[in-house]
Order: sequence, then structure tokens, then C-alpha cells
Amino acid sequence: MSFLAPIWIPLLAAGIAVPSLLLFYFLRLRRQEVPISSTLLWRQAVQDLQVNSPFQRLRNNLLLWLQLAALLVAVFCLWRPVLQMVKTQEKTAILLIDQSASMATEEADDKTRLDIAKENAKTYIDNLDDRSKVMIINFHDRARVAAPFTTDKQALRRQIDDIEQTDCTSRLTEALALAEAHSTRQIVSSEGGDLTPESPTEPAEIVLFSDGRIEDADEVVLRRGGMRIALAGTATDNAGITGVGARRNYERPEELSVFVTVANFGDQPVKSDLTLKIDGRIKAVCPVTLGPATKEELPGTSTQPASLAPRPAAEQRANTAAVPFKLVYDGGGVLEVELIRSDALGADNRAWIVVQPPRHLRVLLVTSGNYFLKRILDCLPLREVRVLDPEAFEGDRKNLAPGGRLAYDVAIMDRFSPENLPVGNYLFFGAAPKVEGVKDTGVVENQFIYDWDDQHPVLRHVVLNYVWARKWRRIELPKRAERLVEGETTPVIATLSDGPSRHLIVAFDLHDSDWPLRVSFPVFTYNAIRYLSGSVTLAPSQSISPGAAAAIPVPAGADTLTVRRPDGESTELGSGELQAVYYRDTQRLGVYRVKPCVEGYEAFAVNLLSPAESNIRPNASFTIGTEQITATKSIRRENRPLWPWLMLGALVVLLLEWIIYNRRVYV
Amino acid sequence: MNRLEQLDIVSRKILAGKMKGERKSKRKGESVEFADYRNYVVGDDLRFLDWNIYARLDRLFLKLFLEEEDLNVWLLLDLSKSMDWGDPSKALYAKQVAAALAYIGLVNYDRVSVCAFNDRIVGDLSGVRGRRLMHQIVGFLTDQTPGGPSNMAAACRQFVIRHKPRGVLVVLSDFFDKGGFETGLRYLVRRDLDVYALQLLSPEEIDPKLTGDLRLVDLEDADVAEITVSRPLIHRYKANLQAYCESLKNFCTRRDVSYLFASTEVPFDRLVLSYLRRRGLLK
Repeated sequence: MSFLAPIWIPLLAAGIAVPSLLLFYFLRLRRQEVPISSTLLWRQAVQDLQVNSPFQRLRNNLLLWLQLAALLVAVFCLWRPVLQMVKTQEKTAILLIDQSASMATEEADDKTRLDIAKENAKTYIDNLDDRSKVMIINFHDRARVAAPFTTDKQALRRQIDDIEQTDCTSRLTEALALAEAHSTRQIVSSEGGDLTPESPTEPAEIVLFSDGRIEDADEVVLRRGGMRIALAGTATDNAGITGVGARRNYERPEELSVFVTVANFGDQPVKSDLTLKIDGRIKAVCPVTLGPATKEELPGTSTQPASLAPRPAAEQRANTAAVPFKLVYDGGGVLEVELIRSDALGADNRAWIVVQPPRHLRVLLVTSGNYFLKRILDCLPLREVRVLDPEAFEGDRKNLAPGGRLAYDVAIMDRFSPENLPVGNYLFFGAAPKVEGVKDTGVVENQFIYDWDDQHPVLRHVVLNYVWARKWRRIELPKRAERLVEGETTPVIATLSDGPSRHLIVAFDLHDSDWPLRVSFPVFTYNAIRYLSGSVTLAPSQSISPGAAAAIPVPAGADTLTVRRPDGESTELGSGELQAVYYRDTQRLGVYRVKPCVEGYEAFAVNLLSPAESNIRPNASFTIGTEQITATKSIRRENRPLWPWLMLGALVVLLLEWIIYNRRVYV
Repeated sequence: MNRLEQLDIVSRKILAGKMKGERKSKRKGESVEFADYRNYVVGDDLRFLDWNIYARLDRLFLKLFLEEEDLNVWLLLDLSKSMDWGDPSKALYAKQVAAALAYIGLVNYDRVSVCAFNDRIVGDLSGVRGRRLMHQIVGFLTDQTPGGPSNMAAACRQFVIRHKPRGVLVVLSDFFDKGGFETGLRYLVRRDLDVYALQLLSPEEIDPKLTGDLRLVDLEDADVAEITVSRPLIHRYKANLQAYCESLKNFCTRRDVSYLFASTEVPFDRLVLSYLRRRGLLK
């Protein structure tokens, strides 16, 4: 039961009415004068009963109690009590419950949005009739069926309670796919028995319990049925870390630069401190001041064709700031940056980076003669550059690759691709590694380089506009390869991981190109060596998103690896004869440690770094496919006022009081 | 009236009257009713010799006969203000009963006296004899109006001093005297006085139908009692009334006073013709 009026109204009314009623009973009553033959016996009776004492008058006065009861009911009605009833008519429903990082936002009453979403879901289930079939799917960036279709409300409530908070981002694609697949073929689970498929019926309606912060909302399409959304949460104040990176000065590797991007998504300005710790010890503190987030009109909204999905009229734009830290640190370890602030979502206030000690690289150049490569390698601050011709390489394999792993950080293969490459990092010019999935099928001539990925670390600051290559190898690559530079028909530069080995392939011979004469070539070489060795920057595999799989190289001779999570739980992974294992239990933020490990892979960090999740402002309206769907703050409820029933009850009480008075039934 | 003529007031105590009436007297006198024998002495009336005994015993005995005397019937009528209440009024009812009893006495050649009292004797009609003087009694009763407070003790004392009553005394009252009825009745208890206490109450006094918050005003002394009528109060009143009547009855019984209770709800003729006969006041 809820009340629409403030409580002071009925209290005030009761404070006036009840004492007034009691006062009437205490006041000198207007008595009817009756002559009587003698008061002799009446006085005796009165004295015996003492009925004229004030409280005796009240004690067993039925009429007073009835009048009080009617009065209190009327006063209670001033409070406007209502019964909030959930109105729903669905018989078959699929509940999607968002358990992403933004659902950890704390709302009122110390509840998180996930708690609110769970309560809403349970209330929704409670108000369905007993024949309704419901399925529960919990999702973040992946989805899972928590409960198949069932009419057992108790089981559904238990499954909802078991849904846990994660630090992952929220993506609806997989969840919707699951929901749509199940909605067309509804199978009801029966207690203790086999699942019984039923013939397809009407598609189930999908109900989403979320705060609306869905990354891929614009990308998903609702093919069948409809969708309802119950919005959970109202908090908007949040600032968090949305980006972090660390880099060593290439010439002075002991200098470590850490770049942190902080964003404020709330309506109030933020003043806080950003601390940098290394292995738990504070190394630097930087004050951060951020203005409030601003509203911006999305460009082109009014000119978009009607066939495209309409976008919200205005989107909140975070106020961001980049905070650099520069410190001298020649060791390795875990860097932690923390925004010292208590806000609704605390998960995005910390980020970690695993850094390795600076090391000078050892590079092996296998070539039958390449002036440009030798020249460039001599200019780079490398610990060692060894040049071998292909025959010498083949002859000294045992020393060059002890234990099957290359003894050098990077090997540059110029026009040379040996068989049975040892494990290592390779840069190929004019050749392709002989690994599974890669085929060198000939030569391509007189083609242009027309596209490249300038965001890739290898191609950062590399301008290929006027680079010309007379011819290059036609290389067929497996799907796992990443094409960095595209020619007209075939890739020109690509990167490929083969187990623990990493390959960067340049399809043309440097002698067939003018690239060595351009500024971009030494930049490319520098980037390539850094990328392949991962010695200076954070390697992508050492900081991953929550829920992503981490590729962990297996050290030689190790049969199992132990991965310890940030919460202290450890998992053993059997490696067998694999060169690398994939670890998928990365839902929690923090540093994961590996033992035993390959050098450089002692630990890896899982960071949120998601502006979509850090922007906790509930999204009341977004599109699913081409359909604009507006969220409701709660399951649709209707208020059923109770005062008519209560006043009816009061009327009955008054009628009873009248009857009693008139029939002279008195206590 | 015809039925009343057939009734007679009963005196449990056979008492001597001033005149010869139709009442047996313990005094031996001339009458037709044999009472006893005694030895003949010279000078006795020879007509009363019992010759049968002389024939058997050869001795002379004289028959003795009961003397027929008249009876004094006193009617003491409470006409205090409290009697002027009820529907029908207790005072009117008492007058009716008193008139009926007076008629019965007159018919039987009793000497009837009627006294009205409240806190004193307020009306007095003594020594009426003979049916033809019934109008005097009726006129007297009609002239008496109830009023004034009750003081039975003072009134009875005055009555006894003034009249030194003998015979039958019927007190018609509600006996609601705040000073108590005991003292007054004690004055009336005499060796040669047959007292009947007839308590008359109205139905409203027996079973009051009062409700609500009331201010009861005593008709006699304007005493006020404020009550809130409730079931326990009514029960308590009735219990008190019953106890009061019981105490009156017990007092009367201990002092050889006949106690009679009547409600004014009962028609007075039925009271006289049936109830009082059953209770022994009339025969």
C-alpha cells in the first residue's frame, strides 16, 4: 500500500478530530430533566456503579468506540492510501536482466541498480497468473539463460536472486538473439522430468530490466514480437577513468609516461585527485578539475532520412580531461591509477596497467644484403643487432633458438622464409611465414596501396600516401590475420599471430619500392619492432576488457598454469602441449597474476575503460533497430485508491452506531 | 359496588368496638352465637339456662354468647408529593383503593376513618358509619390533593397521639421516605391495632424505561440525581428496589404487620376484589 498525501495531513486531522470527540464526552452533558417520585433508590444505584466518574464514562461506551473508529477511518482516508497494482496480461515472457558494470551504480536505500532490476523482475513475475511462462536471461556483453521457460515462480525468483553483478560492458546482441530464438519455440520445463517441447505459439514478449546504457542498442534489431523496458535507477553523478596508457621513452627507457583520461558524466563539476601507485605505493598525485557534462545536439538529426532510426534529440557529452604522469621508473610492476572520489559507480574510479622493466632489444636480421634495413637498425637504440645470411641462420638454429624459442626479441626476415620457424616475433619483408593458413601464391604487379589502418600501433604516424611498390607477393591469409595495409586486390601489410609467435608481414621487397627513401619507413620499422617485442608500450594482451579472453603464453615445460583473480580465487589451467592458453574468467576488474609465466606475462589487468558504462545517466529512450522504445521507470502500475472502500467501512460503522443508539442497546 | 358489598374487612385481632356492629367481639354478650357455659348464679337471665345439661347433670349452667361489636377501620393515606407520580397516579390509585376499602367497611357497619398525611396529618375524616355516608368519604378523598414532603414518622406519631387507633389500620403509601419507614411503622404497631401496609408503586418505578443522560429531580425535595442510563445502572436500581421492598416486608413481618405490594398497573378493582382477598385483608 502506498500513500499519495503527505503524512502530516492525516496526523493533523487526527490531532484535531479525536481530542474534539473525546472532549464532547467529557463536557457537561445536556441532560434531560425528568421528575421522579424519589431519587432515593437512584442515588444508591449511581453510587454503587460510580458511573458518573469521567473515565468510567468512557470505559465501556460502545458508541464512543464506534464513533472513534469511524473518525479514524475518515482521517486515514485523508492520507490517500492506494494499492499499487502491477497490470500485466502477458502469458509468455522473456526477462532480460542487465548485469553490466553500470548496474552496480548505487541508488537510494543502498540498493544498486541490479538490486532494483531484480526486484522489478520479481514483482513482474508475482503479478502474472499462474499459467504464465517466463524465461530469465541475464546478460552483460555475453548472455546466459538463467532459467528456461517455466511456470514455477519460486524457481524463477531463486534464479533472479542468483544473478551476480559483473564489471563487463553491456551488449544486447547475444541476449536478443537468445531471446528471439527461444520466443519462437517455447519449451516449458517440468519439475523433475524431461523437457517437453511444445508447438510454437505466439512469440513471447521481451522485457528488459536495465538502466538503458546499452553499447550496441543501435546495432540490434528486434525481428519478432515487442519489447518493454523497465528502467532501473535515477542517479547521474559519476566521474571515472575512461582511458589509460603507459609508454616508456624510447631513448630513455627509464622514463615512464602514464596517460589517464578522466571523464565527468554528471551535472555537477568535479574536483578530485588522481593518484598513481606502483605496486601499492603512491608515486604521484595530480589534482583534477572537470566541468559538468554538457548536452549536445546530435548533428544531422533533422536531415536524416525517415527510413533511418530516429536518434535522441540530445545526448549527454562527458567533460573529459587527459592527465599525464611522468616519472622515472626503471622497474616493472603493476601501476594503479585511482580517482579519489566517492560517487555512484566506483568500478570506473580505478585502472591498472602492468608494465615491464625497460629492456633494450636484441634484433636478428636475416638477409642476404639490405642496406636500408642495416642502416635503420644501426640508428635505433638496440642492445644488439646481429646480421646473418639465410644459410648461417639455418646452420646455427640450435644456438639461435634454444628450446625452440628464438633467442632474440625480434627477427627480421628479408626475402627469406625458413621452414619450421622457432617461436618468436618476426618481421617479414617480401616473404610470408610458412605457417598454417598462409599461402604465397605469386606476385602482384602495378597495383596501388589505397587503404591502411592508421590507428594500428604499427602504422601510427606512418603516412603511406605516396609509397609505391612495383610488385608484391600475393599472400592469402587466414581469417585470424589482421590486414593493416590493403592493395587493390591483396593485402600489402598484415599481422598474424600463430600461437605464441607473432608475425608482421610486408608483402613487397624493399628493393621493389621507394619506401625505404621515405620518412615513414624508419617510423614503420621502429613501430614494428616495438609492436612485435611489446617491450615499451602496454601490449594489448596485458590490459583487456572485462569478459574478454586473455591469451597467456605457456612457458616451456609447464603443464599447468595457475591464474589468480583479483579477489584471490585461483584457477588452474591445463596447458598440455599448447603454446598458449585462453583464460575467460575475466568478469572482475583488477590484476590477474599468472604462475608459472613467460617473461613479460607475469600479470595482466582487466579495466572497465568504457565511457558507455561510466555514463550512468539512465537512458530513458533509445532505439532497438528502427524502433524507438521509451523506458518506463518501473513496471507499469496503476494506483487503486482505497479510500472508497475505507469510507464504505466507516459508513457501516456509523450505521451500526446509529442502530445501537436507536435500539437503546447500551453497555 | 355490588361485589364490594359482599366483601368484609378482616381483622385478625378480634377487638372490642364502641358499638354493637356485625363483628364478633371477645366480650361475652348477647348474640345468637354460643360461646361458653358458666354456673348459674342468682339473678342470671333464666332464658339462657341450658336445660339439656340440667336434665343430664341435674345442675344449672348458663349459656354465654359472643358480643357483636363494630370495627374501627382506619385508612392512612400517603398523599405526599411522591404519590402524585406515575401513570396512573399513585395518589389517585390509593384514593380509589381507600374508597373501596371504606365502602366495604361502611357496608359492614364498620366505623371508617380516613386520614391523609405527608409529613403530618393533612386531612382527617373520622367515625363514618353506615353506607349512606359514603359520599362523605368520597368527598373527603376528592378534596385531598397530594403535595408536600414525606415524613412518615412524624405523621404516624401525630396520628397515634390524636386518635389512639384500635381496629384495623391500612396504610396506603409507596413508603419512599428518605427518613426511613421504620420509625413511622413502629408508632403504628400496637396491641389492639391490626396493621396492613399496602405498598403501591407505579410501573415506571418498578421497571423504569429511562434512557440517555438524565437529570432526575425528586418531586418532594427537588433533590437532583444526574445519571447516564446504562444497563448496569438499571439492574442496580431494580436490585435496590427489590432490596428496599424486602426490607420493608421483613420489618413488617417481624412486627406482625401485614405487608402487601401492589402495582398501580393492576386495575384497582381487581386489586380489591382479588388480590386483597387472597392476601387476607378482605374476606
